[in-house]
Amino acid sequence: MGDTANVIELKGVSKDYGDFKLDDVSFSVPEGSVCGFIGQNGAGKTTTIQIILDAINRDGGEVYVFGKSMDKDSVAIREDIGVVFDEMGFHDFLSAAQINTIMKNIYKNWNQETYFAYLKRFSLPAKKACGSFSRGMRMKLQIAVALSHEAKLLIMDEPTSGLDPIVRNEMLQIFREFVVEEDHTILLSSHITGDLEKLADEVVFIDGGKIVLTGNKDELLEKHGILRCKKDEVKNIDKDLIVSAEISSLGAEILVNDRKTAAKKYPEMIVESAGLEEIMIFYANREKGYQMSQN
Amino acid sequence: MKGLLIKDFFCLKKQLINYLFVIVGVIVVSILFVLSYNFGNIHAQFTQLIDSGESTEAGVTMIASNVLLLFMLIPIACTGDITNLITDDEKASFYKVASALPVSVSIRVASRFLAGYLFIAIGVVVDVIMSMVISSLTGIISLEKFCGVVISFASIMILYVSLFLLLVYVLGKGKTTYAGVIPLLAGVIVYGWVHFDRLRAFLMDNNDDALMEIYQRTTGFMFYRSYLLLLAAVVVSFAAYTAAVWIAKRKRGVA
Repeated sequence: MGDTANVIELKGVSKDYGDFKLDDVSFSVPEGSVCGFIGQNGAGKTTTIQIILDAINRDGGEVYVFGKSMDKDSVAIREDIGVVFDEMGFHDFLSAAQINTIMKNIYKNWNQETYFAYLKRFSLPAKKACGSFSRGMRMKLQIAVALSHEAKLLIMDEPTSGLDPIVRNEMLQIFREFVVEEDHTILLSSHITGDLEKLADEVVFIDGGKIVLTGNKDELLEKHGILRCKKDEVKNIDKDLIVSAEISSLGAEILVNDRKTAAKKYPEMIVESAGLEEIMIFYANREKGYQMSQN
Repeated sequence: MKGLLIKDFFCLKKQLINYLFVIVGVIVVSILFVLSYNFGNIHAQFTQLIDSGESTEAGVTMIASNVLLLFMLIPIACTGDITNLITDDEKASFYKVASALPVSVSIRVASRFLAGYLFIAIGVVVDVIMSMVISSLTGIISLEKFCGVVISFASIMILYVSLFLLLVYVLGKGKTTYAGVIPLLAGVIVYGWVHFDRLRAFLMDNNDDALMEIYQRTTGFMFYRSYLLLLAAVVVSFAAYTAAVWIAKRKRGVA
């Protein structure tokens, strides 16, 4: 049985597609948190999400959502999950009002008043075919659906990808409102780390089908740093501190896993804070074997 | 399941004008045909054929009944064609949404089969109304025989839809055309195999009687033994559903 304090719990999940493998994926998402699931395109984010939803078969491992095994209760568990995909998934000829008719006959807790309130808030026409909607409107429609059946967990796969900054910001605001409720949790997959820096409490970084890094976002940002030095100084840096490095003729940039220690040890060098994007890039480079890459 | 069926009926709604056009058109044309057969140009033409010895009373009745059978096939074939349901879902990537809904794979597959059968039922209702109207206007085919024809056509469409849906799950996304063609080819092969000797006699020996025999056996089967087709349709649809659920569970993400 999974830990009920974690809304999502994956233990040793694997899936082999031949040309791509999800390998021993384990992580958990605590209740009431926003978990940013980051990784480059093709890293395995969507496959992991599909496995969490029990939409595809996995080869091994265990998945618990709300402390229940997805093998036994997936249909009932999905009543409490709102899902937003990177594309709309509804037929172009359907209107938002028709989607309401469909969904109220699927979800037990469907609340059409909430749904139409979201449509109004998002300025989405109820009677117009959604095929004529812009990408931003389509994503908002999905969010309206995901938030209208009293879901406690929101799983989103690249919801902000391809959206302009204003719409993205608007959506982040909606997500913030959702997690105001203590028992509401979000798993947000994205390769746009800026959004996650604004919103996430926890971060799970996946690369090449493997979990590379997990933890509290603020702690990760606090711990990691970018150390800048001359090319020939790299050999003097403690190897245990280095995640990976980018070395060019102009100098070296090194991601260190303990910013304070690095700053103490090498006071003559510049150690700056690292953003999620830099952390993601340097960890991805390490996974590719570019621990000391030369440009 | 109800929500998924409603979604399929919204897809049908998109084609409603085409359906109405075809169904109303067929009803109107068949009534005009019957009236003309009894009192109009067709009556005059057939009388002339009989008087000149080029055909017999039985011959012209057979031609007329063939035309009516063809008219009966159109509504049921039109509403039973659910290819658009599959292609619309694929185009919208609805499988992604479906996989996140609180609906089991077996219910998702069942709703697909049920939608297909309900669409056939619409065609059956139209055919029954047509049968009642036409049989009250003419004695070319009795209502009893019409009922046999409707059951036969409905059974053939159930067989077609069941095999089509099974193949949709077997072949996976983007292969809807193959899934639609293979059951048709299978049907032609089975029909050809049943009438192999007579077809060979007609094609190789130019034996027209063999063709007439095929026609008589086919219509005789539809008029009097349609229950056998219905039985086959029930068995095949149950087997196809069971197999489709098994495949959809193995290939989760497809259903």
